[in-house]
Amino acid sequence: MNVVCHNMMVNQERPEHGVRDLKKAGFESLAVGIGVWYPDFYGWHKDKPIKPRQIDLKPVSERYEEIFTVCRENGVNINFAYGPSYGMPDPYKHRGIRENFRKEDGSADEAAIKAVEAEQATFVEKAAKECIEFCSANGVHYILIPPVTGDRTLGREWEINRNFYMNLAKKAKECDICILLQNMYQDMKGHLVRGVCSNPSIATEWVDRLNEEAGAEVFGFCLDVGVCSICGNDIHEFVVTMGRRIKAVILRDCDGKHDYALMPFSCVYRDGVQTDWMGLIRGLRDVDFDGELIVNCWNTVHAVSQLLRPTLFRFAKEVGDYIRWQIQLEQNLKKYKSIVLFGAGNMCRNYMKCYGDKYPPLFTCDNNPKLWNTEFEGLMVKNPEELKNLPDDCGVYICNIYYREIETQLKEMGIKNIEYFNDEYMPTFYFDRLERDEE
Amino acid sequence: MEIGVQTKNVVKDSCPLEGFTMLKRAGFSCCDFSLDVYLKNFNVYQNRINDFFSAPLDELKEYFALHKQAAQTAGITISQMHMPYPNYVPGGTDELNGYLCSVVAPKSMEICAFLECPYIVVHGFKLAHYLGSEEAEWEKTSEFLDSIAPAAKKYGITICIENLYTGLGGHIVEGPCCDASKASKRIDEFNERYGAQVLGFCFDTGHANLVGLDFENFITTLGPRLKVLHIHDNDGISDLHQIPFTFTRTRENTSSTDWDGFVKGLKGIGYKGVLSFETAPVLTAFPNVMKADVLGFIANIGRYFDGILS
Repeated sequence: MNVVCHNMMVNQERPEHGVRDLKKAGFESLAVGIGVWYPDFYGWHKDKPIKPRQIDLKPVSERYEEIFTVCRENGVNINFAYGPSYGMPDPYKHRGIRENFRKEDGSADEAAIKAVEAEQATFVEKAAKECIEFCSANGVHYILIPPVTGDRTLGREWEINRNFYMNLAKKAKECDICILLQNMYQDMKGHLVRGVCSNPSIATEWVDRLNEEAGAEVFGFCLDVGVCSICGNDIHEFVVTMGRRIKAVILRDCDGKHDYALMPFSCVYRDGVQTDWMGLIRGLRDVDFDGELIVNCWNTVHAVSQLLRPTLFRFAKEVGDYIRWQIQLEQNLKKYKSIVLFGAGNMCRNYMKCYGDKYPPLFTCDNNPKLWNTEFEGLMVKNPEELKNLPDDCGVYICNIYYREIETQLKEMGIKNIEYFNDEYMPTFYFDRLERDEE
Repeated sequence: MEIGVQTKNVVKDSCPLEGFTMLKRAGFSCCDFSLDVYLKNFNVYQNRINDFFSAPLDELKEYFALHKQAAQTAGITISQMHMPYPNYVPGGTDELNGYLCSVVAPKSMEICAFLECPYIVVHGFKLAHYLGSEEAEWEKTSEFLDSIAPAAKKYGITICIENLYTGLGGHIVEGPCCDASKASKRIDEFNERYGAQVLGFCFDTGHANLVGLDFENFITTLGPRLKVLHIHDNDGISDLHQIPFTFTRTRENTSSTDWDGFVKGLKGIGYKGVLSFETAPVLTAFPNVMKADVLGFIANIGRYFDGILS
């Protein structure tokens, strides 16, 4: 599982500074934007030749060569790219462009609208194929090409997107590239609600149908946690429903109302997080997720001083590593032939309730002599000195919130294979806490 | 189509006829009997249980006989009711949860039958956080439903599960019964098992809006399993239970709730049930002297929906 830095955290036009900062922060991978946002109806005028505005028509290879070169020079890997996307809004909803598509009699000029849409689709399809080739030439395996959305797709979402994606499937197959769809929200008159692929059952069906038609696993899914939060999705259900189709996860925080990309765990209300990180971690554990974990906190990055960004990048990397560690918690338990716990309290009990049957420890130990040679949750509680007699392939898992103190103690004792266990995101929770008299 | 509204904040125990008459004059022909006011959820969560439902069934029937008579006299049909909720408190004592499931729920079914009400709305258990998955949560809800389904079959009542939300750091996310496909399968499984329409669905527009559900798709997926409605509006952020069409989010000032999708969905499935509003909090927001006017306005919105649907 790769912890990847989102492209917006680096200035792609002048990437050297940012790439060096993220490398220093410990990131080994960068997700790069190689797409182009097609300017839909905003760039068109009925009385002027059709010509897109604000659009860079240079080949992808010219536009993005520099960032790939800089990343190569700095030993930063690129395995995920944001490709082109476009929407099909209703021009009549936007006062500024409505006039462009009005006939003499005042009615909607449907033919003109369709002409623009066709032009747009052709352009994006061409750009997407170019991006796929570019990815293939540069060792990028995943390209995110979000579904086409907008008012004019309503009721025809599958039909429009099926055609769009199938036009790209052959090229992706030839280039051994995996195209990722993504969960989307839509704007319901200012209220962000569920959009295309925000229902996990439907998203699963789309990916499967596209792969079936393509005759190969050309399509996968990128789960945007921010969109899940905006849509109020049960993230655990989303992940387990989609399973291994999820190849990448965008980790970002928001308040569930606005489309922000903030540092994970930073969006809180009183003392509670507003994003269901527990559901995400539980779900990704359940499906043995092993894809790209993209940390996107570009709003946070842009809100802080340039001087603080290196520190923020380091923190972003640590947050990504922490989430990866939580996802791999159970896999981590499989590392050793046998395990021993340190701690005979609530965390030990939670371990035994959730993992005790599957990964039974030899015993647990505790610094409290009164607990030695007693039984706790079916485990013998021993003096930590006993840890000195463990075989080399035995892991010692600290099950106590005083991680650092205990780690120091164990290191001073010469104990090897020291690991942390954590019960913040257990598969299930129990209502009663163990209470002991204060010593 | 018939139009209904909650009895909460209108029908008082001291003189039920007055409240039912007010509903009738406002333009309603049906009501959603608010049985939940007799054991308020806030108190249940605080483990503060009153002894209302501890009374013998005969006494409870006698208590509600006045309401039944008043509704009939005023010409109001009790078309649906809301069971007190929650029926299970995570971390609550065995005594509390036992009382909710073994006393409150069965007696609610008996009262529902006594009032000749065909539908009773219940809340699924909110346990996904504790049990680790929505499937495990549904198993517990399912056990609870099994405990009251025989009474539903006996009395010809349909228990309606409702799309709910849950809170996460002040942010609302989907709770039980927010997946229409799963809900449909589960309802069918129950009804097949009991050989009767013991289970149905109550679509709550406000809850759906809070988690951005696609109204039309949700209602279409439910189809004939949709038995009753909780119609109300909010800002997409808090469960405010206000009047439809009152919330906007942009300068264009068009409703930010998908009422078009709601109507299309109902029309598509040929919904013939009651257009029932769950807007009791509106009545505390407006001055008391405007209550009749406010109720009349809500009933007018019902007639507007009816006009489109018909």
